[in-house]
Amino acid sequence: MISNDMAWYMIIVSAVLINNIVLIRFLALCSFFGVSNKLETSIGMGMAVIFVMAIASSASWILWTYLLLPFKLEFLRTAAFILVIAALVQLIEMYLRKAMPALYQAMGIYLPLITTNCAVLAVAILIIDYNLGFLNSLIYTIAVAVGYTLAIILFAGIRERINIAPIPEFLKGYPIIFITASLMSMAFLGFSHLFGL
Amino acid sequence: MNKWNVFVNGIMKENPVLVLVIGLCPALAVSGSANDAFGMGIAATFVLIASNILISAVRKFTPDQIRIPIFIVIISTFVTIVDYTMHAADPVLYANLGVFVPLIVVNCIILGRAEAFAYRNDVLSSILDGIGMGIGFTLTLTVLGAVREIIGNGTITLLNYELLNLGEGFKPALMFIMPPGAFLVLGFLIALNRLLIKRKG
Amino acid sequence: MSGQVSSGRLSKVFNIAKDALKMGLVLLVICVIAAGALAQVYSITKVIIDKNEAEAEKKKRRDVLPLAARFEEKEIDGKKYILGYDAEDKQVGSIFKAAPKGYSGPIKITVGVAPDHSVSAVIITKLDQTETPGLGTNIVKPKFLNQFKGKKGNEIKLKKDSGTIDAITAATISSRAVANGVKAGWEQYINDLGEKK
Repeated sequence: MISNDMAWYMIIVSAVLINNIVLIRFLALCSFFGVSNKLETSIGMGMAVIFVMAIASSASWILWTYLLLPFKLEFLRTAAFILVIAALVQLIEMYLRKAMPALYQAMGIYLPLITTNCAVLAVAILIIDYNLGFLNSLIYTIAVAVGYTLAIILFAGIRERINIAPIPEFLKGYPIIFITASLMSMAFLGFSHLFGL
Repeated sequence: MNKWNVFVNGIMKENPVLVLVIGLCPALAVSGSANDAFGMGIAATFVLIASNILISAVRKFTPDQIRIPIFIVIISTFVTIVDYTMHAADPVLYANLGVFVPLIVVNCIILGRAEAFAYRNDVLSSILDGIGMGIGFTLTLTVLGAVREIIGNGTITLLNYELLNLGEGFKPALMFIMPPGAFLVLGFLIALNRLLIKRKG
Repeated sequence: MSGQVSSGRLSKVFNIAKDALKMGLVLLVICVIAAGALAQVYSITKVIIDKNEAEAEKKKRRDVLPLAARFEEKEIDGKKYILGYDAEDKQVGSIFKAAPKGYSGPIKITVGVAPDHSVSAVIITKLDQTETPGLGTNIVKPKFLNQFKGKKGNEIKLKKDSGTIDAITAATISSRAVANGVKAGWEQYINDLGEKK
């Protein structure tokens, strides 16, 4: 529930804390649970997500505003956006491997996973549904990605501790991890209606 | 593996949500009510079966290098069809599921099965795989939804009918239809499924 | 010698180009078929979707002013009103809409006003709101909405705010949003259509 007349800092607080994309809005969960077993991989994934989402959202916004909408092709939105995202991820991967090998080492392996990261497609759709302008879309997208990074880094920190804790046999592995996520989600619910948002 | 095993596989041993731990986003987001969960399960199953059929049917003509974009085009076409059909047939369900309807296109289950199964097997096996995985997914989601709904709201609704209502006297634990409840119930369901598999095997 | 090498390289490039063209063509054909199928489905379902929305709107008008046989739209200073007339062309009331900000988003309210300027009915359907399930969503229940019947002015406030409306237990914010939205709309209506008889 973001609108164009929200101040930029309000958009950021809403996206990072109050409506955290992972713990409150249930997006990007597969990568959240899959990559958060180590802290380094979490940071790498977070960086990749911020980078790809910013470009993907901008490209989708431009595609919608200047192609799909004027030509009354709204029904092609889902297909067009996901193709753009898939193509972008391929291009980014190719470019990084050649032009910035150091950066590719740091986050290149996560790039293919990002195509199916539902948050990327979801945010591209949300900025259209919320009717945001280009600048607000960019702010919202980056804030959402930062919220994802925050959640995954916090989670990775906790997971590393869980590995050395005495957990009952039937809860070992995913069950205790989900229970942990439940507690984190409860904590983030505490931000609800902060600043009257 | 024989045809029956392909079918049963998706329900327990390789249950997409409880064992493979994929397709999480819709599982948690829409399972606040059994009705919404079931609707999502059916929608995703339709896309899964339809795209499995088409991808398996054209697998011999699909150049390997561009198979992923072709999968995406096929899957997103069916997702868009489901999107508009649901909007027309059940606007309330459509509003409840929100952005998760178009997100079916990035549901790891569908793309995953396309790559791992439909692209390499015949149409009949692909149909059975789709049905099996679909039933596993829908069943899991509906159970998740029913548990969360009964504890968090005192009701169970399915196919737009209220199947059970614990009445005014029941004070529900609201947390269960909110985000923390989703993670909690799913965690316990995974543990339960694991126990059941161990007992059987 | 060099002629042979360069023609070998040229035919290699040519083969790559031919492969790329073939793949591009396959992809294009699939995209065109997909787009065509989608356009068909869209045109069929759009008709049904629009019809559903029109039906829902008609039902709201009939439920809010049951005595009206026909409706006429009127705009005053940018504010839209719908006037209801019975079979003898006598005015049986007016309808206005309000959209106050609720707990998790705007709440669309349809309010009917009787000729004596008291509220005749208030309607909120499930699709008009996105409040917390089990709590805020109870604002659609007749038990809550029937309280508004026959009220005017300062009566249209929560009992907590010295009015006459009972809020829904544990959903004060949603209830207050509805009450204040109806009251503000009513005052605007009096300003625009309340005759100084």
